[in-house]
Amino acid sequence: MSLAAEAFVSQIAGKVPFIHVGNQVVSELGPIVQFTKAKGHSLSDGLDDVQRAEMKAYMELVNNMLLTAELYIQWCDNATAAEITRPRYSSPYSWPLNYILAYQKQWEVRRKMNAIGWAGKSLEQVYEDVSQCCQALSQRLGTQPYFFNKQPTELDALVFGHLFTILTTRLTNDELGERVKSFTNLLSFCRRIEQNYFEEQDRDSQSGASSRHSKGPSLM
Amino acid sequence: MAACMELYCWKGDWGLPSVDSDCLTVLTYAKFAGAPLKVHKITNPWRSPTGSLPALKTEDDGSVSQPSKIIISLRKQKYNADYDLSAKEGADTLAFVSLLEEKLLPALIYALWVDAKNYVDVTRRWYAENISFPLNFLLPNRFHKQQLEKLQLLRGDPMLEPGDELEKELYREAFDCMTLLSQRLGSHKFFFGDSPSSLDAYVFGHLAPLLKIRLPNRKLQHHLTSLENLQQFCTNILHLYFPSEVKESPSCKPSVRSDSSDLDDEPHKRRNQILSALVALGAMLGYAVITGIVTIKRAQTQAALEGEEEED
Repeated sequence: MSLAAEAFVSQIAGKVPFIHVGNQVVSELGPIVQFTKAKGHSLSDGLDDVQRAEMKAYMELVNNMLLTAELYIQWCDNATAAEITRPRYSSPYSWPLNYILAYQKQWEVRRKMNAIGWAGKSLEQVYEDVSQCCQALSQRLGTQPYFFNKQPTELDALVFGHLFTILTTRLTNDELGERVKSFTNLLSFCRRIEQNYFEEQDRDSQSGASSRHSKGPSLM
Repeated sequence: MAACMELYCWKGDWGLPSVDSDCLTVLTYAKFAGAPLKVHKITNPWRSPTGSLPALKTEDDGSVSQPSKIIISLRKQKYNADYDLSAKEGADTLAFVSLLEEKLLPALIYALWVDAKNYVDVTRRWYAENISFPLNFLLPNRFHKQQLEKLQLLRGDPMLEPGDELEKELYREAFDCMTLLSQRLGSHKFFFGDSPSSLDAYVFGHLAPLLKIRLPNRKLQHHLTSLENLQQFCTNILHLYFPSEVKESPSCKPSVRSDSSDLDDEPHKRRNQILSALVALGAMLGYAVITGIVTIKRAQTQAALEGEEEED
């Protein structure tokens, strides 16, 4: 499954992505990172304490703002919820379960928005928040290839996952995608990662006999 | 710009200008930015213009709640403590505030509102003592439910129950967060050099209650006191910007308060006990008299005895 699809599904199902190693199953980004670190693969070993603090802080920023904004747009904006989210969420189920589960999820998300103070926000304000978050990320990235200079870290993976989803998911209007695209260094950051890490994968899978999945969405 | 701005926030205690994190954040930011505010310290959130605390009332923009909106409103009035920050520092501010809200705030809510001993001995007691009758019976429990619900929603688990496992997980994340903040602060006076900014206000707002409020279950506080630079950071801000609160000598205050409150309670308690025993006895005797079980016969026999003695 492509990272973008995983990221999107994780917002719907809650516990994806997961990896299956031997007889262990580890789900969600945080535990997966810990797991791979325990196996000796870590992307953030080269960082000093201050940089690690900044990396964790920026990851929380992405979780706090981008993830919440994505949830808001999917579930609290009536147009998007009715046309796209609810049908997509309820597609595996038959009547009446599809209605019940979809509305239950919507109610749950709206309660969460209420608790964190986002319920009173208009769509315009949410777009503003996303712009603000992207601006912060853009400032931090600057002209470097990755957030902590030459090597990618967990933060790069997280930002790529969210931005790629935003840029390639069809919504009722394109404003969110346009706002993200206005940050040119973030756009080229996403393209670079897609080219370096995902096009090789696609080439490999296409040359293989098995049809893993059809060619996923792309920024190109 | 000379518009009169009024800020409504929770009362202070334990040497803090306010007991609530959000109110502390806003008060501190206003001090940093030099905003002339008329501060109303109240104990009834229904008296605030928006129904919740903290709340800022301005002539131009009406009333706003929530620390982030209040800070934006102050900035619009040209009271901006982040004026000197670079773009990267502004981005860092956003990031670290998110870190605080995601990692430290849940543990703070747990320590003050969900942990049974802390809630009953300290939080509920303070709110019950400081809110006026009859709301002091209603509001503390209401807040407790709201905070528990907020915690459940923040963690994404509607079936969350207080317990050791949850406590361990929340505190572990909070310890990490505090350690990260300590590493970022280093040996500087404030997070971005020598002058304070909104990030300093947020960090102070979240850490100061932990430092000052004496809780029975002190795991979170122990970790904070082990991080000397954060402790120094909080004490510094208190001394520089809230000297009047510090003068009330918070370290002596709790022991004096507890002694005097015990003395006050004891005679009241004894008096109440004696009074209630007397009332019960009186009621029983009155009932006996009315139904004629004991008293009347005794009077008659006594009178009869006296009569016999006189005759003799």
